[in-house]
Amino acid sequence: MSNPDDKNDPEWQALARAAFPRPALKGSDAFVARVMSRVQADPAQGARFWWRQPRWLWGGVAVAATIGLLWLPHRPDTAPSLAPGRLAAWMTADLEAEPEPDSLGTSIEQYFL
Amino acid sequence: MDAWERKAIDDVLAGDPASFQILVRANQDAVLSLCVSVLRSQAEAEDAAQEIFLKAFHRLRSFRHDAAFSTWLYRIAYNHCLDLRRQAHRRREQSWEAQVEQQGDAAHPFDEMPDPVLAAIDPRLQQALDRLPPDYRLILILREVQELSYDDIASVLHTSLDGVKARLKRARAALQEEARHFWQADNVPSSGATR
Repeated sequence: MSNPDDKNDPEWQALARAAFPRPALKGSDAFVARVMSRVQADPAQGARFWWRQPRWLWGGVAVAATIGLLWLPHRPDTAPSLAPGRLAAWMTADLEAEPEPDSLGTSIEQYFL
Repeated sequence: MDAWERKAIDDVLAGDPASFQILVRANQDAVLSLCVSVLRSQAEAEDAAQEIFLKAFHRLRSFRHDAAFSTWLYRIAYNHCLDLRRQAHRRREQSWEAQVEQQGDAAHPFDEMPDPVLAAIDPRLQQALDRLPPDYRLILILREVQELSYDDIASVLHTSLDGVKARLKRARAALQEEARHFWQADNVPSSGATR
């Protein structure tokens, strides 16, 4: 489809021909075969499932793990520890009981407060 | 849209991925030629064209039959090429700065691009094209190489006809301005040129 504002302007046409030569690259059976082998390797249609989105999924996992590791030393003492012995102790602890004084005569909580 | 094209799309969506090769075969020349015009490297163009077809395959369910499949494919190709072009531009700026740091005035901006596609273009014109914003270059390629109509370009770019005309006018003016120092009147043929 021709449009008068560019196709009839010889100065522009000469510049366009020089700047945008027609590429000689053509398609081939080999190119179709390469595309189709990739299509057959991953024939799922539509939006990809969330576990097949490595960029945001695994990026999110890495960020969450980093935040978790940074937070771990600062977690409140009331939160359960994942260490097996400490988790069991936390679950069975008598919350009403006074904290057991340590050998220095003070609890760890009092020391930090 | 042709009946065979619609049938191929329906077959793919019905679970026959092999039918996609009909669409690849019919559009490979256009996509490859767009990629090689934008990327100016045959190897990169082939890789990019493969990626474009793969994207089209995975997004085929979102294709609405209100436009030609080729126009929809061009839209994917345009966005993909624009991304690649921007990435390449950033990489080249970084490596160009490193080159200037090492070689000073001896550095040459095209030492890293020995592709035969470039040989067909006047080096000064290459530099002028490199100074154009990527979207200007792409719209000129859609018009001058792919010979898309204004309506088709509007569909590819998701914009109005007036928007296409305005953007093309600005892109042409930008290239003419970049080339005006070396592009002489004697380059212009005496009779009206037709392509």
